[in-house]
Amino acid sequence: MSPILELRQLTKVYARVAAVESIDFALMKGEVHALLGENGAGKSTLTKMIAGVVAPTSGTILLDGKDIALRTPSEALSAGIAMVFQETSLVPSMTVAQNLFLGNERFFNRVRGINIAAQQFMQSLSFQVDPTVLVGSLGAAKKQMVEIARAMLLKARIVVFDEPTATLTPEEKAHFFELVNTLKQRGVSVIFISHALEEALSISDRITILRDGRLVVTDQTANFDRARIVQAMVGRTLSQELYGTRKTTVRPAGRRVLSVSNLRVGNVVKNNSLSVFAGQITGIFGLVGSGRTETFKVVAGAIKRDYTNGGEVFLEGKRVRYRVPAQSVRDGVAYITEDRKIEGFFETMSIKSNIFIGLLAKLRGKFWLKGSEVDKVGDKWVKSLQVRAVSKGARVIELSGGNQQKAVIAKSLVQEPELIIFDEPTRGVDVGAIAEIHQIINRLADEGKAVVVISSYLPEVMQLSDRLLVARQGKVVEEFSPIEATEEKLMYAAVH
Amino acid sequence: MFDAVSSLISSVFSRGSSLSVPILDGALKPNNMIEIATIVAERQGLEDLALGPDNTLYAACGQDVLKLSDAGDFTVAAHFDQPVTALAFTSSGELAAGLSNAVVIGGRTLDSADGKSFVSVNALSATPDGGLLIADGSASRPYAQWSHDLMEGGRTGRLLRHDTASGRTTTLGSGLGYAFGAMADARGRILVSESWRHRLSVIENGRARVAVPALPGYPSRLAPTQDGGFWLTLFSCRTQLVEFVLQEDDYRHEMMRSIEPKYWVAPALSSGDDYMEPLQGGSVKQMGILKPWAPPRSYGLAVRFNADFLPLYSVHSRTGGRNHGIVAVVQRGDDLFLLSKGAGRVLRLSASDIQSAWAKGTNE
Repeated sequence: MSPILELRQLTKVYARVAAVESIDFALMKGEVHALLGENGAGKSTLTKMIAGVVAPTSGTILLDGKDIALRTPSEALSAGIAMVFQETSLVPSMTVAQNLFLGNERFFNRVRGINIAAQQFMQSLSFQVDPTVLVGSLGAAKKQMVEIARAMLLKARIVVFDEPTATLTPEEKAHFFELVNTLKQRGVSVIFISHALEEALSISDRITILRDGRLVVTDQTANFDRARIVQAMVGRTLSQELYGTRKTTVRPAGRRVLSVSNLRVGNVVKNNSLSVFAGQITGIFGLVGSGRTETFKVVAGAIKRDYTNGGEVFLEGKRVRYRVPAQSVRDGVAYITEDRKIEGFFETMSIKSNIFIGLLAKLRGKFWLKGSEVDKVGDKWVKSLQVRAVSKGARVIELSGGNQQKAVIAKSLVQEPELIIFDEPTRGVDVGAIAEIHQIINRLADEGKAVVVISSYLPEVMQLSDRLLVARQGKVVEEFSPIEATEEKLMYAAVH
Repeated sequence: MFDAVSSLISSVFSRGSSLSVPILDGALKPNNMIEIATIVAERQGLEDLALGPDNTLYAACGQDVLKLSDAGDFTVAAHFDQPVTALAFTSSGELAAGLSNAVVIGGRTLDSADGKSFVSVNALSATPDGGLLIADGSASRPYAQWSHDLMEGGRTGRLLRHDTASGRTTTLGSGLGYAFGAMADARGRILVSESWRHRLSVIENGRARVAVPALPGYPSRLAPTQDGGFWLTLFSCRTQLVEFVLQEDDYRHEMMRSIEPKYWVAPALSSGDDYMEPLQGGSVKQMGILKPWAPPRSYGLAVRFNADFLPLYSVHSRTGGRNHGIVAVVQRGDDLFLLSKGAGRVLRLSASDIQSAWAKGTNE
């Protein structure tokens, strides 16, 4: 069987650095092909060239055996290649039906007409989405359904997913996998980028692994296991290094840095109480919707608790109620967001400028620092956290996910906080960078800082934490020692 | 400036006010160690524990002071005409007993100090220099009516020091929110627990300096350890319901007028025996089981602190347990004796086992 899409010696060079080099790749009809690699391995660049977002420096792309040049995404779409990005390209203030037909409207449109057409089309894909609801009110999985439906409406034969499951709940993930199967049955070929290796192992037919812009291996999924994938991705066995050993000792608790008592935030956080101690990593595990993030956003002043009977927050024994995050920053609180692309950094600014902005939040009444000071502070933290960039003045958007996360961490650590809250610190980060971020977190606790790690990934939270709190339905319900805790115990507490 | 004005307005109009109680976590993470402790002896009326000069354990029980053998047998060592509310031995080995409105030291009776009568003597503790610390919880309510004092917002407790050589008694601190435990630590500091203010204070120059604030329960008696630290007992845990009732004056006064004290919305030393007991939402039994994390009406808790007032670990009997109302603790070598007033039991735990379970994280 001849491939539907073939790449031959495809290369992309940025500023004399090859992001992708001499890649040979083939995609079969109706195949789910997983593309794996560490951040910075070249996955995104490769798929962007396929989707016409980026033009290759050299090499050829063959579609149905014919050499084509894809200069824009619309050209790729016309050729039947659609890309579904992690952040969807839908318009939240428009309905599902309006989004589906956006850009393809007729001169006169009947609302009822496009609603019916959208309904019929969604049903033909077995997607259960009401075409009349606003996209902004949909969950992440349903948004992806709409995105996929839009690609299908444009008769896409190849759909590229860039980390589709990163923001999905377990239930939504299961639903997404059904969607991929539906596409496959309809003869659509799927390229699937993911950091979750188990997902790639469970839904793909073949796996291709990239490292440092080069193709390392392509093989049938049945021939892979987790260890082989990790070995190929990082060139070393990191899985064991990260999560292999069970914790046998924990750091003793220091002074009580943070105490949250009976906190309430709408119907998300319900009477939540917890403490965080110096010199320890406090791990917070819970399913999506357990109120973990909201609790700590209140602590950091990013959102407000209920005005009456909203509970109390004590920092170093002092009752606090922050109106804006800058107040908490000055009191030594750093919140490192789970959504770095939206809340973590200014993507078009350089790493140093971002770090400088972090510092400004700490400096009261000061709005300017000398350029040399900015450079000095930036250099110090870039070096300390080993942020790797193509050039010194590189913009944060040009960094790999792991390095972006390190830049966000540097932006907070420059404030010299005493309480550091990491919300999903390794989400969308490659395996190599995960190890480095874990080292940073451990180092902070060893230095006597109070560290909070909110994570939905059980092995991570069990490996890092000195004490484990499990949140369920808006409050912490159990505390475990990581020495005694098992994944089953934690999950049971989180669910029941 | 804006913050200052905003917080002033909020405090005047009680805007943004909240009822909250500190959580049991970290070194106070709940476990069942008190619940599964060895029962050394069981007897109704047990009140306080003390180590005698012969290193034997003594217990105050009703009107008697009992000597407790390692096998758990009692022999009466002394008898008084009133219930014994506190027990200690001075550094010279004399028995000191509190009788709510008096203190008897080696046969001598003290019934007042600094011109004020004793009303609620509830803890005694010897100091190394031959003194005796006396905690007089309330100036208005006798010891048996401690919950009345709580509901009346009592702030009339005092801490005194009696010099056994000179016979003089001096007031170290007054206006305390129910003094219910005192101790001189290895550094010579005088510690006092204030139950209704949920804190442990150090008495310095006649004034109380807060050493451990915002405890999650009502602190009671203290006991020193070999390394300069100490054990603190908490006879019950705070709940939002009780804190709410303490804010609502009319409700509280009506409750005190019209309801029997044992059914008050107030902390208790034991619970679960009477269906008429007030409950806080969440304390409802499901499938016949009371959840251990439900808001407690009674609870068993003792916390080990180091010399810097940092809590190291703790032992618990959770909601639904029986060994509640821990009011006294004594450590003798590796044996830690706890007195559960709610269950009427003297319990024993191994101090090293507790420590190692916490170090290993096996303190489930």
